[in-house]
Amino acid sequence: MIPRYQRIVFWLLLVCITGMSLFLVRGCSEARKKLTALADATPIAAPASTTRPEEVTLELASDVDDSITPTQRTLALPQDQPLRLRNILQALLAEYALPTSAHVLPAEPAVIDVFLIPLSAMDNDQPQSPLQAASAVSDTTPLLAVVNLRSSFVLHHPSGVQSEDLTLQSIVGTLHAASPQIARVRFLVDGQPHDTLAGHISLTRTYPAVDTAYAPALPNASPQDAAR
Amino acid sequence: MVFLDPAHGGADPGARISDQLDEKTATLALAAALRPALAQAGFTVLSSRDAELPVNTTLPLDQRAGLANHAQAAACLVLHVTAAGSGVHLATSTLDAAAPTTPGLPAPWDTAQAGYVERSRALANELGEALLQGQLPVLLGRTLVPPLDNLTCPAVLLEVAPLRGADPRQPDDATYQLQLARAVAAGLRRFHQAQSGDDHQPAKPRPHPAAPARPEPQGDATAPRGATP
Ligand SMILES: [Zn+2]
Repeated sequence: MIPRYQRIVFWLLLVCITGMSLFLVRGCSEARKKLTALADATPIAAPASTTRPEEVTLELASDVDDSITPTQRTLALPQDQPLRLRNILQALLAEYALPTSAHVLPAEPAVIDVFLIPLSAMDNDQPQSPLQAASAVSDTTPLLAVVNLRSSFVLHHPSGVQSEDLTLQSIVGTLHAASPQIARVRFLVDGQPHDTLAGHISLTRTYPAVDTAYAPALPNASPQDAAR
Repeated sequence: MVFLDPAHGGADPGARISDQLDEKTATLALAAALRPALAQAGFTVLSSRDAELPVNTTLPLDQRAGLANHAQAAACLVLHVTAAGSGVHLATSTLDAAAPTTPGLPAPWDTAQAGYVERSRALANELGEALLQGQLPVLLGRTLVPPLDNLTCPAVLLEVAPLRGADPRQPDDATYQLQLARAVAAGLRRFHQAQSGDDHQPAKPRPHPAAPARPEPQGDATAPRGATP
């Protein structure tokens, strides 16, 4: 005859073992679910598209007559300003890679990124933190646009006064048309200062962002007619 | 006197014109072709370099401008050669015209050309006309390429590209260079005559031209200042 207390202990232990088994099984299945969710490469939610079609002015250069002509294009552009400007410049330089282009440039990605820096932060003698500089920007603060070009683009750019002049004017004029807030333009190549575009045009200078549209005059026309 | 500046040289080869030809050699050959034609037209010719520079050296742009300014030349021609484009490209500074500085006072180095811009454009115009008369295609433009802005003389950048079309010729072609040299000499002579005529007229206030169509470079912090014109 099994004593009563032993039977009570037996049933208590059996209940505990069953409870612990259930707890372990549930824990394992939950852990598996978590691991599966982590290993899943598909994004949780597709990023919302922030691009919208916009009409922009590209200042297109021509080697044929040494001109720069404002040309309208409709592009899908992001709202983020530096990204928008980079995409506009990419579109401009992609035009020059077309076989029909009047100013032929290498067909490769040319612009890594575009930075916008408030000129007040540049002119101020007191060093400002990026946070201070950013908070000082309003819609009317004149900006310095820093165009960071790819070294492969610079390496393959044709060397010559006219060719380099036109590329630079075209970029500066297009930036001016894209954002009147840009007052000056500087260039970097792979994030570093670089002497010239392809042996002639200086990339160490800061250029004023102005309208660069230009129709050359024939000799004997008034030199003033050459402007614009 | 005419000052010639064959661009590049030494460690700076300039553009690749062909498999065998660098721009630094082509500009030197162009200067050599211009020299006798200019001498025949009655000009004394001074050049920033008459031969290839020693290996691993360059003639800095500021030094070229210094030589030109010191020469007080009646005209300065900066010579470039390219394989791109076609014909002859004549370019003047993008600077706004400004009154010449008082003789004896230094001109700001970065904008030294401002007092000469109108005469430079007149020179480019005369050269362009002469080149057209010599059956050579020509384009007149503005350029940011140094050392044009630092020159205190009527200054034109002359970039020679190949001739395309029915009678294609490379920039180092002897016939092309002779044709070019004759036209440049004729243009310079006409410019010189016009300027000499102007000198006898009482000085008239010159109108300021419209804002430049091309951006002017901002002052380079590293550029020397205070060059005497
Ligand atoms: Zn050159």
